[in-house]
Amino acid sequence: MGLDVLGKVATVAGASALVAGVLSTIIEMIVQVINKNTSDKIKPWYIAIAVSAAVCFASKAGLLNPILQAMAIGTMPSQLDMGFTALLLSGGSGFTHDFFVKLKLRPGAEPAAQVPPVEPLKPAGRIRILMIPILAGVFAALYLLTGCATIPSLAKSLPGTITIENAQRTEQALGDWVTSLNGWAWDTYTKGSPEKQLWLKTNVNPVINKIKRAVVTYSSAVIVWEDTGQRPQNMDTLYSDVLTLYSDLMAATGKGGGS
Amino acid sequence: MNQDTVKKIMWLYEVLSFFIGSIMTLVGKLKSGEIKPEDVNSRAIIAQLEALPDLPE
Repeated sequence: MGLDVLGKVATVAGASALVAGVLSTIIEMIVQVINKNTSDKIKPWYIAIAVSAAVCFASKAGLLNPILQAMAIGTMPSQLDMGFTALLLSGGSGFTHDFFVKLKLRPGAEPAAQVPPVEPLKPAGRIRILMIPILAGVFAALYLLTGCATIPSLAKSLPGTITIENAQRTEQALGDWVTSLNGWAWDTYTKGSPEKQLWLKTNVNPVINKIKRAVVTYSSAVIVWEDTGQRPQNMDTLYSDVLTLYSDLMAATGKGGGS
Repeated sequence: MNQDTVKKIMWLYEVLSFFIGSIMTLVGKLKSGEIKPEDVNSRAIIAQLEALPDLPE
């Protein structure tokens, strides 16, 4: 399964976990209000979900842009965006857990006056219900880890090769990226243990070398465009080759590593 | 979970964070428009990349 597909699956799973978490929270709050049981309303989940939801939605709606621009940051850094999304997922997961534990599982919990006593679940049922927040947490982690797989899709959506100006900007960004990748790989290789060196030589270094050559080819196409004024027909392919190689680089990390 | 497994996970985390961070920086640069096309020198970029030594394979 390609990383792109895995990323999409994880994104859908993560989003489902989030929806489940938020829905259970709303239901829980309604139940608490109906039962006038407000003694333990404030929990870490509430704070996490309130803060992260506010930041996520404000970010998506572009409300943070004036503040970020005023701080000379430009746009919302992707790392922060992902971080808050993960926090939101964790909050949703926590709510789900809390909801089921409180309503069905906690032995000895005093039922509200209007609610008939709930018999404690048998161990098998308890495990099944506990699986929901556990799975939600796993999905959240998977979403965070493979969120990177969505980055090539995001990059593809950028107008990287539509105009020569954008192609030049893309070329500069790719050049800086490869230089940084190469520097990191050299540094890590020279300082690494023999196991790490072997792993880098086998899995990572060949891909980085290929990426470097692909970016040189892309830059050569930009030069042709600059010199002739004609957009080379293979610009999109060359750009997409680089992104595919990035996916290969990410996939290489799934092949284990030296300790 | 033994110590080797923990070390391996830490190492993979380190590698993944660098790769993800670097591509996010790339995307951020493209989205923010901080690179001015008039400042880009394609031939200099190629020269810079070709000067990088190939990593051992």
